[in-house]
Amino acid sequence: MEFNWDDIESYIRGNLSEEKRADFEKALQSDADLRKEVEDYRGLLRGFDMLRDEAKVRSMMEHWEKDTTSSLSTTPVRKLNPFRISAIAAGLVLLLGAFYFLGIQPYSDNALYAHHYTDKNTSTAIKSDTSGDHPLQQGFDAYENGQFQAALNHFNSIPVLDPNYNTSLYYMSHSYMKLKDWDNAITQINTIIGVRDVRYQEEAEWLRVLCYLQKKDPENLEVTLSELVKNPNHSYNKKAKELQSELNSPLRSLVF
Amino acid sequence: MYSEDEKILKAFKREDQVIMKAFYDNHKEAFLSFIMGKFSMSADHAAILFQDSFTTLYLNIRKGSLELPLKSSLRTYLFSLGKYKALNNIRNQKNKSFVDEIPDEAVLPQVERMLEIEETKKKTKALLERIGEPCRKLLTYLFIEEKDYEEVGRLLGIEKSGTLRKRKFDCLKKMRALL
Repeated sequence: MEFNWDDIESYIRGNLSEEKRADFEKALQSDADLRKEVEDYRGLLRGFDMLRDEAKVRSMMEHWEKDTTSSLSTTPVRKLNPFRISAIAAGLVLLLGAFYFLGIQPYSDNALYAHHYTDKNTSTAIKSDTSGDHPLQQGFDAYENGQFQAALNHFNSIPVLDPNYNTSLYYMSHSYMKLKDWDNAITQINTIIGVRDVRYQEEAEWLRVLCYLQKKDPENLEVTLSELVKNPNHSYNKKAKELQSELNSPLRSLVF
Repeated sequence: MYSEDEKILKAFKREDQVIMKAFYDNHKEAFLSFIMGKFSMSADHAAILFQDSFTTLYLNIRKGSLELPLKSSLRTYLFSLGKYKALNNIRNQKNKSFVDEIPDEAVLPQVERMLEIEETKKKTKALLERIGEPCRKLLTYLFIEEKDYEEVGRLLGIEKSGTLRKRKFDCLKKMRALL
């Protein structure tokens, strides 16, 4: 009897009818390939279940933290008088006109990216190394000389067990960003976020937002940005709020 | 011996959020000052570590690795997880030559086993990263976000549920091939 994926999944999850389960188990006894298949998919489903439960508990904690923050927040909302609003609006229009006159589009994706992206100086990463023979040195030299593809090749050669491995991942992300290869940059950033190295974790989450901005992926941009906006303890919370307000600015719709 | 904690463990199992939140709130401050004091960690990093440790504790209870009867209080498990994770972070930040200088903190052997869950998560995430964005999205929607076929079809612009099922199977096959 042939079994498809749905049968395998139902068997693993214990959802097969009694009759079908008996058939399935009979097949398992004689079919080593099927046994291996079930074992592999069981492992994959277990991994998915863990990621799902992790997402669930993290969302719970986010709500709990929000509850705590909102119950502590008692700042009154300040009202602006209508004349002041008109004056601000007129000022903004004039400012926008001036920007157009100068050929600048301050709310475009490129301008926002340029404003929020901070270039990485590799010297800070090797300052602590006194041997003068840092394993990332060649990569750093290439990076500083603007040879980002060469830098990537060097960083990519750092083995997983090397203590500089996470640093190499971090600079690979910057290199991909310099090359405007947003997909690979995001993949690399997700890897850094996955390893949860406190040195790079929060900055990586911010860089991912900037990549989605440049990749023109509004769905993921919104999700990743709002994560930072909602977390008052995040180092990039203030920057995230600033970017969110720039993205929501009515002026932004005028520059496209 | 830990009857109160065993009630809390059961509450975690049935996802009783009121009790879970109370446990979270009750231990957060003490955890942060413990970690900040012992490992000279910033408040922000200690807060990340607290949530990571809470998550690991929750996952282990959910998947049945932490069962009754308890050998320690849940607070001990939580703090030991934090301690272990903090030591790992320090090791990651320092060159190997410094590792020996880090005091060897005694952690419960059970806690070390609890951290095995991190490996499974890391492996699954890495596999998802390697199967390409369309597959990653599809499997994430279906298995992690638990969206139904209709919604996933709408999000991915796939009208026929047969096509979606076929694609899901292909993506799983792709993932399995990378194991």
